[in-house]
Amino acid sequence: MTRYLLFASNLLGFGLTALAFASGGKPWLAAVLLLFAGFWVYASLRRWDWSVTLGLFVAYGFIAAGFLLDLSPALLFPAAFLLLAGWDLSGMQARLRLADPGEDTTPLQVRHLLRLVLTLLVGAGFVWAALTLHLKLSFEWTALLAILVAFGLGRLVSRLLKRA
Amino acid sequence: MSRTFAVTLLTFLLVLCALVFISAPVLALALPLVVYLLVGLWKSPGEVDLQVTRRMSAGRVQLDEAVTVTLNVKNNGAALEEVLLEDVLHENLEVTEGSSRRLVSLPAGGSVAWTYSLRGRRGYYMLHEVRATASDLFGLGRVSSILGTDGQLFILPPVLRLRRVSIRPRRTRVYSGTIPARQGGPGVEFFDVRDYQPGDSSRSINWRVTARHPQGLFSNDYEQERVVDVGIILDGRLRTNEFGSRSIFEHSVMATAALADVFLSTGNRVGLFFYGQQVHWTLPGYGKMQVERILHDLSRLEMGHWQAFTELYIPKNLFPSRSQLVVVSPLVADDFRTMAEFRSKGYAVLIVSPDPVTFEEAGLPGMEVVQLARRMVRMKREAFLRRLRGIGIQVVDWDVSQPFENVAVRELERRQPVLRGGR
Repeated sequence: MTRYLLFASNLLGFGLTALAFASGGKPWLAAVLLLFAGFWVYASLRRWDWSVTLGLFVAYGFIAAGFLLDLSPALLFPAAFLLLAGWDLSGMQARLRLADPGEDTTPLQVRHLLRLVLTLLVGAGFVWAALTLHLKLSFEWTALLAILVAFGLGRLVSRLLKRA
Repeated sequence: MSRTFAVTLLTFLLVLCALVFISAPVLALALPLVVYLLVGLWKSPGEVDLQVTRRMSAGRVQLDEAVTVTLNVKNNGAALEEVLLEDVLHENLEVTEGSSRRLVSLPAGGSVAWTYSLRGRRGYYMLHEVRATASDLFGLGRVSSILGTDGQLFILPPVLRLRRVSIRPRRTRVYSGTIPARQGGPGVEFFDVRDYQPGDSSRSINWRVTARHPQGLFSNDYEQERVVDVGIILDGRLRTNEFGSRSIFEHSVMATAALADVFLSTGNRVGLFFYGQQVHWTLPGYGKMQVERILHDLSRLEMGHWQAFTELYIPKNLFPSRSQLVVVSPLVADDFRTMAEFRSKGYAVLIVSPDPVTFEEAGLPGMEVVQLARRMVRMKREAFLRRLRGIGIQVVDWDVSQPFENVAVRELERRQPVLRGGR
């Protein structure tokens, strides 16, 4: 299940991004992206694990470039969510390969998928809020928020370092 | 690159890009990544508190015999969303059925048990580690831990059953056995003729001799059969046993096991001396327990880098001179001196030598130059073995492509003549 979903979401993600470029008058960039998608499929079939993360970075690079070129957000945001899901599912698939082939991992996969969908929905909610709600904040509130964000990022980084 | 690091790096790159180009959509693009990262880290496991118990169908098995391992893992800590449990196995062990790994979800207080089968090469294996790698469902926060268990496995060498091995050391022990003791007394084989003693059975009277010497009666005397001290020396030097990626050592181990078994089953006192990665003694002993001790020791022996039998000292309190030494070794020319010293100390020496020439040749291409080299090395080895035989050593040159049982029947079961040379 995970295997099919990861291929589907990645290909759809690459396809939507390429479509955004093609419809925005950049067909050669779309072609480059599709070529990269072909390479990514090949690398995934060969189980080159490094290609998964490389694919995410390249695809997000294209999406960011798409936003800067004023391409359609209706295509680029779903593509970003699908590519993130595809990258996550690739990791799950790699972990599933370590399990006994005869083992029933379906409950684990279902729970993982549910959490992923919920997380992406929450992420989508934040994106929608960020793009639609425009709050007018005073300088004091902006400064307070900036301090809180810096503090939160600091805690996050320290926690990551502790785990590493 | 770890997954957490990858997502974090991508997030920061997007934020940086958004700040540089002052782009709200690019900044918004980072938001799902932040949410993903936070959810993963929020659900990542803290400490892994697992308890493992292991059950094995056997602690000692013969080569090619499978062992069933059952592992039970109990979670004494907080719930683990995803944990990969992996029994850490030695590279010489092979899983034949099931899997040594499980990917499961373990609630607090929950447990999981699974069974798999394994087999492996001769050896002694400690099975005392299970690796647990716990992570959240996104695989971002990972905690690894090695869990301790009890478990050890002896994979013993195969024991070929030989009928008998004929040896004739000069020194025997007091207990009756199967080795001719060169002394008259109760026995089976004719030994001598002596004057009739009152109490001798009338069936023991030698009527032919009595008829020739009418002045008295003469009785047959038989050769006593006793048990003896046998010291088996197993050569585990890499120099003599290893040929490229192939090793003849397993053949030597198999022969040693068979010889120890046959000597002990006929009541003799047997000890084992190993000269390889470690210099190891199995002190002499009798009976089935000694067979077990020797097999256990054989299972854990490994080859080593000793060059010659330079430090080969046989303690006389364990193996008195004139007892039997059995050397299992492919031999190199330098070993002649050591073997001659054994003979000069009065030991009866039997060498079982797995033939390294034919063994090595089997792994080489059949080129003319190889054939020529083989002939030269063969001649050199035959001359060396002839020298050994010349000083009264019984040598069995074993082509390991032939089963050892056949070689033993042909060359070891026949009654040995009293050998010349030495004392």
